[in-house]
Amino acid sequence: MPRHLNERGQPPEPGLLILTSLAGGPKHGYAMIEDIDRIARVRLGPGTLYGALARLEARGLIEPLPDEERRRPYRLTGLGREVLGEQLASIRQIAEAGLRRLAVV
Amino acid sequence: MHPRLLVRLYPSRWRRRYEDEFGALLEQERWSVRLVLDVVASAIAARLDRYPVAIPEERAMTSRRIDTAAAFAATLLVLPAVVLLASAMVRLMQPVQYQPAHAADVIFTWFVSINAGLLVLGVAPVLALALGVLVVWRRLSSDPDLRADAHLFVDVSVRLLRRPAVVAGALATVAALAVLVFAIDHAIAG
Repeated sequence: MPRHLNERGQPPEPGLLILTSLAGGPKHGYAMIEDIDRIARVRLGPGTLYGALARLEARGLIEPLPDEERRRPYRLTGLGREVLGEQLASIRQIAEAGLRRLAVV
Repeated sequence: MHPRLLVRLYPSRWRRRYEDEFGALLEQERWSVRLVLDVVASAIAARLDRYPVAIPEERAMTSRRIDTAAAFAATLLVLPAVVLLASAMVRLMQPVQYQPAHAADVIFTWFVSINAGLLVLGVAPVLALALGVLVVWRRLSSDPDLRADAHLFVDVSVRLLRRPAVVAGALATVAALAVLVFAIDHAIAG
């Protein structure tokens, strides 16, 4: 099984990947797909991407910026930054505990 | 296939918000079976999600009222049928002089009487239909997305009704259902 897939053979949660991508600055859809492909080796489909974008926007975690020739960039909101920070801290805590037990670090 | 065709799979509220930018993204992507499946699955998910796009609180309240009305109408239609079938089943399980078959027999006999039949098959569906028409009518005046979906539904229905094979298929289905209902009624009543 490829290393970027979880135990059920699925890629990481698209919402988390999108928030992580937008933590590096505002991006439109295609730029997000390319960025996520680069950082997580997961290529999100357009439907998956926009399904997650709509949910994140509805929850107030991201917000749209004025469109540029039909391509609309998005950026993290303050709440989105806070939620992403909490999620990543939780993942880091689990990862560090697991790596310690494996005596990798 | 043109990207716009795939975008049409999404609900109108979603399209109103994302159609342009999503269409632009689809035009940039390389077409593949995986891409089409991804978009179709996402469109189905958007249609199943009651609130796929952020909506103002006032409209969310309206949607919740419609949900309540729909649940009430469904109960009005389904509950009498469930009681009828349950009483018919219990009545067949043991002689009617013993309980609970006796109570089931009383309920069943009342249901198959002409007055109860009028209530179950006439008044309840008419009430449910009136309730549905009322809430949809109220919503139509304030919701442009629902109006757009209604226009699309009428447009597609008119196109389908112009095809003889579709009309013949629909009539055959209705006839088959009528025969089935008659057969079930005959089996239960007697």
